[in-house]
Amino acid sequence: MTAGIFLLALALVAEPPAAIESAKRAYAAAQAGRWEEAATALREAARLAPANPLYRTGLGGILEKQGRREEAVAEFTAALRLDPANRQLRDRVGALALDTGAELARAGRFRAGLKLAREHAALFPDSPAAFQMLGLFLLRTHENPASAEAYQRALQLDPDSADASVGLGIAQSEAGLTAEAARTFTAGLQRFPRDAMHRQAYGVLLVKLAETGDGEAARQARPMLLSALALNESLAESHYQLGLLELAAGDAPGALASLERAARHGLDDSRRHYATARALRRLGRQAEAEAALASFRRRKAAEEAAPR
Amino acid sequence: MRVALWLALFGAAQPALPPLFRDTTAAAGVVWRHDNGQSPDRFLLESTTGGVAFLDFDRDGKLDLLFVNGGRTPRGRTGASPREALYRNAGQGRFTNVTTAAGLLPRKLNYGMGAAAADYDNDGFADLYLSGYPHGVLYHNNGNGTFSDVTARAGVSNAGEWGASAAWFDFDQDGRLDLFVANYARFSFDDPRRCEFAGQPVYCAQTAYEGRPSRLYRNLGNGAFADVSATAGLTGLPGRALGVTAIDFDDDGPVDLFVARDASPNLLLHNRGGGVFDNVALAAEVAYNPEGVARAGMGVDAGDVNGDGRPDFTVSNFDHEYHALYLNPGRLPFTEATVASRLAEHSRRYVGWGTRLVDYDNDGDLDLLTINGHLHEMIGQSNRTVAYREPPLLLNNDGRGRFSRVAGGPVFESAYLGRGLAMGDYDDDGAIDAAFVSLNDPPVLLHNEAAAGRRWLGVQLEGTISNRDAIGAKLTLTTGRRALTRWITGGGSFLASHDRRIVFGLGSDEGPYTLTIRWPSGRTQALPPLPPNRYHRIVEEKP
Repeated sequence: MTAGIFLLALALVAEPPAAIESAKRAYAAAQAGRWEEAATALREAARLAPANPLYRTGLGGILEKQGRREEAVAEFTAALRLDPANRQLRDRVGALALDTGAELARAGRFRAGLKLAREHAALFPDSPAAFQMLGLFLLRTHENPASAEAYQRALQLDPDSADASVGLGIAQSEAGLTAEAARTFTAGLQRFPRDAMHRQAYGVLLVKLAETGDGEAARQARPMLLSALALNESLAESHYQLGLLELAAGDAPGALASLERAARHGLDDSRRHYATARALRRLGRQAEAEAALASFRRRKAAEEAAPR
Repeated sequence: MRVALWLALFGAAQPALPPLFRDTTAAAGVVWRHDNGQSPDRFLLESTTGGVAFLDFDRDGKLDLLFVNGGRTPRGRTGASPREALYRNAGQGRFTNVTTAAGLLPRKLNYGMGAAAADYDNDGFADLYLSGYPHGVLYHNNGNGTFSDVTARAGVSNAGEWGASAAWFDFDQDGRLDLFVANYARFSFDDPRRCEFAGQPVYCAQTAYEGRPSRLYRNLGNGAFADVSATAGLTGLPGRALGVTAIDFDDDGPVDLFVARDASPNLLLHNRGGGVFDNVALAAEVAYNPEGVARAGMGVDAGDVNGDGRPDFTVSNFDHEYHALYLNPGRLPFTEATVASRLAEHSRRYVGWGTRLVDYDNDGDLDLLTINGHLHEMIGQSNRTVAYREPPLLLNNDGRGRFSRVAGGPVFESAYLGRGLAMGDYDDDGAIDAAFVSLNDPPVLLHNEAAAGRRWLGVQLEGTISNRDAIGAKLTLTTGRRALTRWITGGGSFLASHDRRIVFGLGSDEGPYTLTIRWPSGRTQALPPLPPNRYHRIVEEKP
């Protein structure tokens, strides 16, 4: 909403004069680029006229301009609650909330993301994207059964979403619902036969099941990961998982080759360096193993220093 | 329908199997109760307490029992002051509380964690080190049924630290037991860490607490100890240590250490002599899981799991991390056999604490008993297959290092917040019994009934040149068909101290049973064939 439209809209609304005065001050401050002063004045206007969505919208716009996206989403959301039929505002909140959620996820701010995602899903009960975001943050904060429910809702809303299906399978797996997860992945393989992520995620689950005594999973894990790579050779996690399987089977040359492919496709975390060191050690390449361990230590330190 | 009919005809008629371990807590007269002072501040300390020890403090030949309590927290539940309990074995399966008479009251600990019992001054009586926060306490056994607090004089208070498990061992082979204290993390009751799960307060993850270096105290032989942590190389290895066991893993003579740490890499401290330890955990591949992730190591124990004469290690970890098994191939790296041994399968759902490799059925191979219990009351909201209270795990070894779960009796079908676990043969029948602590519950004393009728051979060592408890000794018993190797270890399990005697389960092995001992002093002593089904007291030969 531009400032001009904003003031025009104000004129059409019966407002306490003090609120209008605050809004005018906000407009003047915004025109001069004094964003903080503008925000303060709009907060005052919103306090004086709490039923008017325009002040909250304006405040949201200023906060967004300042890069304070979480606060902006909160203000736009408050405005939308006051003016639920405003389609333009609705679209803006929707898009900004999803962008902000992605930003919070990248920054590892999962609790803040969960708060945003909960509000967003309440506001957009028919949005598959909203429930996918909620599922993601519930998963990241270990509320795994609730995450599975959120992904289930996303999949109901958009049965064509392969991402929602993969998310559901992963959340079920983390929730200990491994039989349900296997069913989700199996159904996903039929519905999305060309989706490599389904095969990779299912492959990871099969590896875990194999560790705990599931013989059938042990037989299926490697072919599943290979089938993922047949569809998308750049899936670094699949290469890494294959490397681990090969290491466990005593195939150090095969493991090293898989781990090098994982590296070529961008996997640079501490896990990959550690597994590489183990493979090199088994090949008698001690100096290279030591170098890989040094890389492992550096990556580990960086990961531990990163925000959670 | 057929199944129902079958069950009606035969299922109900199945007689209940006798328990392998019978709960004798009440019958023994043990009425103490653990108290962690649980507070709305959710101090992580509350979740890691509960020590237990088997020791013969009055030297009457019968194992007594000690339980270590938690303590008060600033805003925690109030009630009677938590205190330790020393139970004297009165025989006939009965125990008598002698805490006050033994001089363990008034309490010297602020907040208690674990116990390590050993005769550090070689006077023939078991002394006691109790770990805790913000200091530990060393009790000297006066030899008349009482203890005296000698912490200040000995210089082992571990001041300012949150001490967890402790181990007595003779690292410099001077015949005197030294003390290792596994320290956990920087901590203060004035600095509660606030964490939430699903909107409710929960214990913060361990990573919210900065790990601390552990400490090594050298026994000077005059009642005093010197803190040699820096020269030993420990101060540069901070981390959240919870469990420790002392054993010579590479058979080179000096006793080494395995330290289990919580989301910090485990330590394998090779004793290279001269009072210096090298951490070889990374080269041994025991520091991390196969993906380079530090598990939440709690308890640790050592023993020969696969019958190759070399000590292997097991570490209890968090749920879905699996309790780990590291097989010792006689060189580095170790072989992680967590999956191949089926430990992953059996332990997946549990947070393990006290853990002990023990031949519970006296068939000659080391089985595994692990005590479990979660930290988070709402864990079910994260994983449907994991519970807050968890059953103990009794795993039977097939002799080649593969474990199967066995139904040990009602206790193994019940759920606890298990922590410390100690093992010892309290009725001298050659079957090793158990005692464990569960947070805010009465402890559990388990009488072993699994080994009845099986042949066994018990050994109690007494060092003369070596430390009197012979901690660090390696014992090899040769039967008509195999060699069984055992060690007298320091520490082991979690917050616990065990019967120092060794019981060899003989299964159906015929004799002669010949024993060779390599004493901590390095001397080797071969004995003539020994008769089974009794304990043998063996004194180290002097040159």
